[in-house]
Amino acid sequence: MNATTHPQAVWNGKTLRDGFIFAADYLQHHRDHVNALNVFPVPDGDTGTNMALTMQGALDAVADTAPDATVGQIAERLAHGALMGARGNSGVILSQILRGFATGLDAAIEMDGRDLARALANASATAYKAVMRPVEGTMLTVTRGAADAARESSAAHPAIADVLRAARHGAQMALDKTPEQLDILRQAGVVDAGGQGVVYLLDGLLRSALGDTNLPDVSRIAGAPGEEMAFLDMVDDLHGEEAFGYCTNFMVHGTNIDTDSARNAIAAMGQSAVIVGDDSALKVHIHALNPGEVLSYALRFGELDQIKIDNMSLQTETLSAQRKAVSARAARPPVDAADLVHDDIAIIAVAAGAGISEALISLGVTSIVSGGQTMNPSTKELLEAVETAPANQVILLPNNKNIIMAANQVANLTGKTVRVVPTRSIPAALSALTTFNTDQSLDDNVADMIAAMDDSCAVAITRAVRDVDLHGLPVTAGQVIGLVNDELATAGDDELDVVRRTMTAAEVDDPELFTVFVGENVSQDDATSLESLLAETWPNAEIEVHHGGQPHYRFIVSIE
Amino acid sequence: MSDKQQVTVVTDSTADVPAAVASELGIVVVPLRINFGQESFRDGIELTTDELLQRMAGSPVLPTTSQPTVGEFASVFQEALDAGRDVVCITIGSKLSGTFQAASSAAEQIGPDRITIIDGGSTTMHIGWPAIAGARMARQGAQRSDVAAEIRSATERANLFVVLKTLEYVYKGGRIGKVGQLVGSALNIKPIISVRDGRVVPIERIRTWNKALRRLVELTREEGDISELSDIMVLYVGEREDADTMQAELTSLFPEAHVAIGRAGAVIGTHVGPGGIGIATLRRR
Repeated sequence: MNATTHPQAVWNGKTLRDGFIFAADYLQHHRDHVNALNVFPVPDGDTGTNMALTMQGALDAVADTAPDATVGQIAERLAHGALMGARGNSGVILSQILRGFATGLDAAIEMDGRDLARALANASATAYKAVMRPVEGTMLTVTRGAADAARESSAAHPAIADVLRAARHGAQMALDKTPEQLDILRQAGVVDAGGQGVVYLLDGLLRSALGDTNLPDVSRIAGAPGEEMAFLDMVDDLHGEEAFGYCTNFMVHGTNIDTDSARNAIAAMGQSAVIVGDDSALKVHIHALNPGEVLSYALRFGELDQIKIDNMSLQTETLSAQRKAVSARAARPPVDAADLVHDDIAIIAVAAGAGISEALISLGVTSIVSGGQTMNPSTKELLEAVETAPANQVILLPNNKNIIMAANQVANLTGKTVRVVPTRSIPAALSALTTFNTDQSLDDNVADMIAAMDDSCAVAITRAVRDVDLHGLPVTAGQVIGLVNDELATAGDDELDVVRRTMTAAEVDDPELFTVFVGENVSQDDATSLESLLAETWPNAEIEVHHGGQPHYRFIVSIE
Repeated sequence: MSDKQQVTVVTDSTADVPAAVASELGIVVVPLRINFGQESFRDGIELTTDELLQRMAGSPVLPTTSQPTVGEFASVFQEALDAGRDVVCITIGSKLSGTFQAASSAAEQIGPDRITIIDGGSTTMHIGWPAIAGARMARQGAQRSDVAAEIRSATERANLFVVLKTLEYVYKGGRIGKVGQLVGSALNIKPIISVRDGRVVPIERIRTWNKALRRLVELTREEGDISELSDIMVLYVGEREDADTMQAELTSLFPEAHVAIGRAGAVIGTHVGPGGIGIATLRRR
């Protein structure tokens, strides 16, 4: 820790800006910890990432402010930047907290602790108002805890640093209670992720006010889930169209593993190696022409576990064959280009994966905003898509519960008429799109789409990124899990068994159609096994299997 | 046939007016043609829908269709004029077929002063109901201008929704219009189509057959208040079972309407395929 300077009593524009710059750094530094607090063990819209990126958007807006800018001006710019950069529901709420913070300061030139307390009170009130049905035990509660404590403290101790200390303490107290307020948090054994983000931001502001701007070592805080996600992200980046050989994944459990020499030796046996771990366990991902050689070598370090080998050459061939089929279709002549544009309504959908995007476009979507499970698009990205759409009336399909709020924000930021059909999944989007009718008005279409979006049941198969016990269902990190309409339904080690149980849990009476989107890096064999399972279990149903290309989710299935 | 009748109503075979109704109301039907290679058949006379489906099942090449000749219209018109009657003729839409052109040429030759040709703008019972409405009026002794006005008014009051099991036939048949945008669909869909401004247009893209059938009934229901529809016909090409179910459903939904069931002819069957089901409606004045 540095020798501390005097705790700050009053903030001007510059020190407020410095405070937020450090607070954003501080949050970014703890991002993985916040991500790890996700209730569901799915690789889903990470709160830490979303809040950190939203803060980045806020800071971008104060990057070139004049040195003599007032606290009011800085706060106003931060709020605007956060609004445009907002990602995910937590990002949108954070942007509203900053909006309230700015209006609470009004046009102040400097601020002391009393001004800060007033700004926090207004931040809390504004955030509550921004949410249709406020729920306690969330970042709203934590923000109010900070505001209440700040107000109580500010009368007697009006220095900025003192009020921030009180606010941070109040926020932490509120955060600790969130599992008592939300049963789902208690079951998952975590505190609220967004609330934790608020605490980190206040902590960062406090440290800045105290002159203590060293970032702590977080390697012990960031638990396995964060590491697992980082591992998955790295692996995802390595799977391109040119992939060949066998994608080989396994773990080695041993003692006193010489990690450096193991890493070097294994990496030399193939390409795209990602090897992480310590002297007791290694997690290995490598593309090898001879996976047997890699496994034999690894055995000298200990026992092997979670072995998974996929033939990428076959996957790549399937993929390029599908791409060819798509471009052949695109080249088909009799479609008049003028017929392809809905007279004056554009539809914008959020999606990840080439195959899923293509399916949406073929059902009438005008443009795709890339994103979904792990990367929630910012308000700004959605706004840009709306502004560039070839129509003045736009329908937005967020396709994820964590993008709906950002989509709603867009309506207030553009001169175009925007309607959000609050789809929470790709299957919901497909159902909504089937009723889109060029003959109808925008509002009639939106009403039909909202009525239709729950016609299908959305099933997703993925892997748990952390241990959890939800509704009495114990899940271990790495296990296959099945979700029905966003709710965790089943978990297990055998994928087909999980699929079977998840489909049963979906409780669709007499299903007529299964539309399966196969995720990227899923082998042809695995896709074929799933198709056979569905065909055997529901012999009267139609089954369509498409290469969806989505990350993280091995299968997304629409049941109708 | 009443002696005071002054007008004969003529239509083409794609109107799908049931033979019994045509005979009762004195509607004269001019057949289009279905061609399998060198063989050509008059719709409904030399080739029934069942025979079409048998031939299609056994032939890798889809048949084509062609309009009636000018001469066929001319002889029908001449016969009416010889019987002392004027003619009002409604044809399949001119953007879908050359039939309107052939009828117009025939009228020009035979007696433009006594024959009115109306571009029906659509096909099947979407023009069949107007032909029937016109014929009912003609039976009561109305003159040509009134019958023509009734038919034109009825085309505004008629509507059509069709669900296709596959897009294959409408695509290969070339009568595709805006439905083309459905052909490239990455997903299997059961499109609901209609005819608007003379062209085939996609209305909705439903994923499953049963849902599409339910949606067809809903769309009909949205046509207007229950008392507004006077006539409804469920049309089918191949299997009748779904059409029967739909007829029963519509009968209970629209107790004040006349709900019939009818079979699409071989020309419509060629372009829609065996799995097509449609509902054609007529609203009251």
